[in-house]
Amino acid sequence: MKIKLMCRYFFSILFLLITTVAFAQRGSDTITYKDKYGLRIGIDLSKPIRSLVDDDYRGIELVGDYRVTENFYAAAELGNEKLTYDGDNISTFSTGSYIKLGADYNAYENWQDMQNMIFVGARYGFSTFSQTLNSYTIYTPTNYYGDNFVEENTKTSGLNASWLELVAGIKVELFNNLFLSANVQLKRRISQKTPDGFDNLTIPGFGRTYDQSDFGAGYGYSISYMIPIFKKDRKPSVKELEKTVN
Amino acid sequence: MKRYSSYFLIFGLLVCLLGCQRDDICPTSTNVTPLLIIRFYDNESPDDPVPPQNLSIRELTEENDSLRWVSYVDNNGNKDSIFRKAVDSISIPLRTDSNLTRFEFVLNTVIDSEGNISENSNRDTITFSYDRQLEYLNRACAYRTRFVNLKVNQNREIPDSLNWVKNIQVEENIVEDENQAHVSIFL
Repeated sequence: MKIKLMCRYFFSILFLLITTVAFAQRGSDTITYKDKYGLRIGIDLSKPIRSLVDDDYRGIELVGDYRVTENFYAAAELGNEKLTYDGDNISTFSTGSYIKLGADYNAYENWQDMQNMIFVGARYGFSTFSQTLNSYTIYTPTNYYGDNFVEENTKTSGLNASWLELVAGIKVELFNNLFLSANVQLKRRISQKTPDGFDNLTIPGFGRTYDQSDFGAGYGYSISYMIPIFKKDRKPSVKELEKTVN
Repeated sequence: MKRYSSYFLIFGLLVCLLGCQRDDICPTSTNVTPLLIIRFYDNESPDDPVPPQNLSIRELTEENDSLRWVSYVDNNGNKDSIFRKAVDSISIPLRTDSNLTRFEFVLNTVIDSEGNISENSNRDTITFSYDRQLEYLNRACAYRTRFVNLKVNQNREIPDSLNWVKNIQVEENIVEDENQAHVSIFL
């Protein structure tokens, strides 16, 4: 049922696309260019790949953005992750879902008909998750009794965290409307709910945490498809005007 | 284009710096599971510290009869074991996997040619019982144990003159740091 609906949606979009292309051809001009505006949706490639390679990891993330003005895009990511922390003395993992909402600013000036991006952006991230404490040692200043290694599986549900994120990256149009994107993320946690008498060692969407700071880091590598919705004239830049004059 | 790439470099560097931050090594300054501090006093004049001569301490277990003297790592990171010591203050570890630790305190320790404790040594058995509380420290050190309701019990031999430990007093019944003596032993 869902797939049927999606198909119908896709074809109507496709129809829209064909008609817009037809209109665009009719009104072609030598100086003004048409910029495509639309919804770009995709999937993070690094997470499924990491899921295959790393047994302790499982993750998927949907990415999307919508072009609002010439340079600004509303952007969002929606994901689910299992993140493991395996230290010398403690081993935990957390599983949960997250959403990131924000905007990207394209700082790259494209040639006509090109839609590449070098962008910076900001996000607000929110994650709900559970954390399981697998095992730990009780740290003593002696090994006289041997290591007191405790194995237990204590799961704490109903945890959450929120953070602000700075993103920087590039988006390159590989084929018509198909984009490959890479980005790095710098995050700062605003709030978190931790288990009683314990800490969140990893947070889905945020990554591993650090004991002494609220900062975190991440990366993304995604492929996405832009569904063009309409076209809008782009004012030629000064550079381009100079070219036509010469 | 050049301007943007320098921004990227700074951003990338920041991310890398964060990624390289080490917080998975337990610092020696951390207040981990505390050792039990015992001070020795003269039973006749209870204010005077007195070092027991050639004192050795080992854990007494039902099956284990080996001469494994109590060892610990001091604040300077040196490993030390309590064997033929003559100091008026010692630190010993308590078991973190049991509510009870039983020690043999051996005065005038002499090891005979067969490697056993000589008959001339005076052996007293002291049992420490307590409740354990688990405390999370950080991801490098994981957990520590806090000992509460500390009680000390001595298996007194008969006649009483065989016991070199005359009296035991618990000074702090919560063992959570190593700032002061928890137990006083009078000899």
